[in-house]
Amino acid sequence: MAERFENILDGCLERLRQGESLEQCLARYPERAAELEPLLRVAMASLKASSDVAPRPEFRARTRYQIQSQLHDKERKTEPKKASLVGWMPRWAVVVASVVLVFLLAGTGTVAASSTSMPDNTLYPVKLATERVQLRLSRGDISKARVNVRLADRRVKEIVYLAKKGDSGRLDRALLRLEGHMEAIEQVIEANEDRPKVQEAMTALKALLEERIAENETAIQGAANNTDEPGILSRVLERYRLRYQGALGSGWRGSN
Amino acid sequence: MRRAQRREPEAFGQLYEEHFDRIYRYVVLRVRNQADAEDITQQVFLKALENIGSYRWRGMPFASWLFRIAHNLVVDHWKKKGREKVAAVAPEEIDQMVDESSNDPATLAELKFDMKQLSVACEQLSDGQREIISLRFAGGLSVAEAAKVMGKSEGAVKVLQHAALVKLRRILCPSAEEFHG
Repeated sequence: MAERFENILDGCLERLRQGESLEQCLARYPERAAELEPLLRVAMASLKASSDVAPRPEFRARTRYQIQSQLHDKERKTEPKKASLVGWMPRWAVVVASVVLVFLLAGTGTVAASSTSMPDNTLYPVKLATERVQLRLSRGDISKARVNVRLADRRVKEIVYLAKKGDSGRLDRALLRLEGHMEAIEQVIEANEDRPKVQEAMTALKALLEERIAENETAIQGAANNTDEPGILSRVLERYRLRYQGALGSGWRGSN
Repeated sequence: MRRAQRREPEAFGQLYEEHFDRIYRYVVLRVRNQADAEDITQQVFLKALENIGSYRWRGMPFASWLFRIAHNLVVDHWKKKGREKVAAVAPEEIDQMVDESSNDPATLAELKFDMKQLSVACEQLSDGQREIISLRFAGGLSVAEAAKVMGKSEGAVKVLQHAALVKLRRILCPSAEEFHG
């Protein structure tokens, strides 16, 4: 079957781009050369016209500076990493130590008390440590994702709380954690989308996620309506939407 | 890419250097005005920085993702301008832009025009044709990458590219067209 003309044309364009001459290109298709030549010449002149254009150096430098400023602003806003007390320990040892610690603390009710603590509370680090252990102990991707759905709920509650208090520093960090949970969920959905064996569990996970997203969106929107600075929560909502659309597909529009 | 998504300055800087000129050329061809092109190009990268965390491969190359941002901003730009561009292209502008020599079939080999002339000629194309010329020849995207930006199959993009080049040739070399039939 004869090759379609648009395929021949595109093949020639690619070869011209790679440095082949017009004559060499035309020699490959002598029977189509008369038709190809004028189109290739227009394409070559278009490429030449475009390549003659370059951004002004001062514009390029100004934009680069703006981007770098934004990147450094974000870096500054990110919590500085503190030296880890367990940095020298192997990963398995940290897990074992954490589990032991959680069980010890559970006896005193500290863990239970920490589960409702907010980021400005002294028990909050215990809450985060407990969550990490819960994630480590959950078996299988989908179980982990379900834990992340629950933890994302917690982050939303914290964000609403911090917005009411006007604590934008802690709010930014809570937002980063929320995005981390959503990204983890998204990765699980992406990795298991085509696995027939887990479809039932996936459907249940998505249903849970959709339900929680609808409720969380309403909570964020409600808080935005009741704060003096709705801009922060609008930004949270925008990033939350981007994340869940990543997890559920851009066709899913939450509670809107 | 992972490092850029974590907003590491060096990694994002590399992406910026790699794509800046191509995005700028694409935007220039679409808006025909240096000030607007600079404004939009800047917005493309600021928007990319803001949203890079949400970029996922899923068959969409990074260049296509970036050009889709640029495409959306160009569309918004023309919506705001109320598509005044159509009125801005006068028929005599087309006549003036075509070099006398390029109307001569014997000298078709010397076909030459600049970006402004190309941009004016592109105004006579359909939206899809204009987009494919801009993505392929100004943005330097492959057919596969352009297809992702436009949400079309590669086959459809090749057909569109062919039609766009035929029409561009008619606009830029009208007498050559008559000569060749």
